[in-house]
Amino acid sequence: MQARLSAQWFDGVSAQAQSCELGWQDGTLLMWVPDATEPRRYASRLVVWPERSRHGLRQLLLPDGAVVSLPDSSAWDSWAEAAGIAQPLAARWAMSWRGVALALVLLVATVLAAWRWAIPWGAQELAGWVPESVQISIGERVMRDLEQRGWLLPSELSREARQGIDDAVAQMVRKAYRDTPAPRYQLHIYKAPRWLGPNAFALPSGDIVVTDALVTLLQSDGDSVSSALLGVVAHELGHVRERHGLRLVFEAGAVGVLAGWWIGDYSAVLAGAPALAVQAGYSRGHERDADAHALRVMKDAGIDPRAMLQFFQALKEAVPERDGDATAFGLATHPVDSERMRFFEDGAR
Amino acid sequence: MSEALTKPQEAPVNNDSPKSQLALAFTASGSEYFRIWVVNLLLIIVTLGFFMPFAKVRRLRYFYANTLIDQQPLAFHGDPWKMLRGYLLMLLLFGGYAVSGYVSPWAALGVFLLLALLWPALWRSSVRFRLHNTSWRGLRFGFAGDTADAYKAMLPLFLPGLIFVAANTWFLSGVDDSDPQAMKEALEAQLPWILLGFVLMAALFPLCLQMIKRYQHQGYRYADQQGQFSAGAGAFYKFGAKFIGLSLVGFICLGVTAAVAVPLLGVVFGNTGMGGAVLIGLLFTVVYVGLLSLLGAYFTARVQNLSWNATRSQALVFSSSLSVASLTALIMKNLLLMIVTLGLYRPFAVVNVMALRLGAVEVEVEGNIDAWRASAALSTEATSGEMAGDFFGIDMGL
Ligand SMILES: [Zn+2]
Repeated sequence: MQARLSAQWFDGVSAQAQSCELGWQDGTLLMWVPDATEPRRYASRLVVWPERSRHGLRQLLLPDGAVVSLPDSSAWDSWAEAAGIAQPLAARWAMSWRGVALALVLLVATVLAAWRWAIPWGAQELAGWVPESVQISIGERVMRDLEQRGWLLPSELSREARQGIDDAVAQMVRKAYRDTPAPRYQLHIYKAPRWLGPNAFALPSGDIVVTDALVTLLQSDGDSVSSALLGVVAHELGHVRERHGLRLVFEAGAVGVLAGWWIGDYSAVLAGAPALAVQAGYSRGHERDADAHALRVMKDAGIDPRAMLQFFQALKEAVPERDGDATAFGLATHPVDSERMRFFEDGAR
Repeated sequence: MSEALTKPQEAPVNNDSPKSQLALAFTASGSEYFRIWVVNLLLIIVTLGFFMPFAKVRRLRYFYANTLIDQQPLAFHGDPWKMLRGYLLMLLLFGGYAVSGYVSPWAALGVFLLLALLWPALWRSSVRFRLHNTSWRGLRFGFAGDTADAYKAMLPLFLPGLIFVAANTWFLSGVDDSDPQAMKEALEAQLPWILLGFVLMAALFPLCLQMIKRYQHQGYRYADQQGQFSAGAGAFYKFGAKFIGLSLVGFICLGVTAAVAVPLLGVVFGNTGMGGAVLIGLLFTVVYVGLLSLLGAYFTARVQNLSWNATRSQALVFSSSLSVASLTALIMKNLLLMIVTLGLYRPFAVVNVMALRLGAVEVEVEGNIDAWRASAALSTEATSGEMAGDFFGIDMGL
């Protein structure tokens, strides 16, 4: 039995502090209080023991509602250690700087792993679960919305030119997907307002929209379908096949939730900026994947991937204000043009 | 963050006894809380969230042990296993809400209404749970506000909410959303009601805030002390008017700055394309965040001062003189450091804001606290009360 420790006792009925002495015997806390000859006894597991810390005062919470206040923290710490009252794991962990450093490293590693693997993987799995009917209805809804806004107008290209593009794409798809099933797609050519410029995009439903401006930009010579245009469509086919649209929605959602949890309750604006940067990073990843897909399709269909260099060059001349090499402080949704051009150039060899 | 502030303190009964100041001290350190926070966060992630209530108890106990009133700390008696039940209930409710949106809009509406209907009861249970499990000098705090009054206090916000839901259901149900003309007409018919909802919400907000604060502060119990709240709706409307005025001035200044700065930057940087646009965006964000910090600080500080200056009990008088300027400066400093450290500064920020807010509060007591005894009503309640809130250990806030 070890030496007694004096402390303050609040009995739970009166606000007055009373002096008491604590003892320890075979895993039982003994407490001598004024006007009693026998000590009170408390089984160790029923007492809430204080965690060790540099600041703040230690207290024991007793099962009968009483509280023991320990004005001298270090005296209590050595007394408790001598008694063998263990600190909980989390407290021991937080007490050592080495443990905290390890926790910090693990925490950062977990966040990085979530960013690098867990979120993209989860988004891919989730996107795979979305039934085709839902994807189609999303696509229809978006198309209808774009038409209602007047952003997609009937094409002014000749019927023959559009038919030629349809056929060339169909032929490319036939050649490129000899062994694997081709993604379900539907090619649309629309005239778009000037600000949309030469552009192409894909929807989860497999609807691929190409603007008149893009067609005229890439095939000034009229009849023959340009390889660059086929490359752009192949890139969009990559988005469709990999379900990039849905995946980005899920990825962005997960990042938003996590950023909100991390600091969002402190400042939503603060949480928003890094979330946007991470989302843009995922988008750039999808663009690279779509480029890789385009490269494979073009090669399998016997189209020279260097045609894509013409696409970037023409885009630069036609839309000088686009600045294809701006990284926008990490907020750009596409990789820079020079990187993408190098990719197709290297891939052509 | 108001936890340390949401507890009133103690008081005697004698009227001619001497008055004295109860010293308040907050001794927590940012670096120490940082260590607790990091370990908690990691354990929460590793256990997929199950450690949350345990983490919360560890955090509360650290802050309580560092909140010294007259040199005696607060103590938290909550059982994390009980609190786990509360967490699971909340998870079920909010998870249900999140998932129901995918099932059908009607399911989402149903769960939303259920949540809104349960909210005041849950909130009251949570306040009650926290106070019943907090003690000072061995005596438990208590909360006497009943469920009916919780609903009454929140009623002013339910009204505009009801208008939104009703207008949405009435005008939009059965409208073919593929028909743009019908959709446009329905939205136009709905618009006045939505506007009415917003105006009503703005008009009723100060009243609601006052009712909520009064409900909370009058419900506080300790020993034989009962909270009293003397601020009327008028004081809160005055505060609301000032707040709206400040917001207007702030946003007008922001607009003027933007109108001047954007062309100016264009001249300075020339046409840098995307990069220039992002730079302007960043600059704008900084000013915007500054304004939001100021407004947030103004709201927090003024509501704290207004509420606590109006609060007393038989033997206790509270006062609060939190300065808007120092809170704004602190919030901005915290934001900056949080950006620089990618959020790792957060525990330091929590501690320093709490220290500032607590440091602004003073408590005066009449008579001798040593003579105070646990109220008979409170102790029977504490032992017999396995009520829903206690059973589930619902503990929201902070
Ligand atoms: Zn793309």
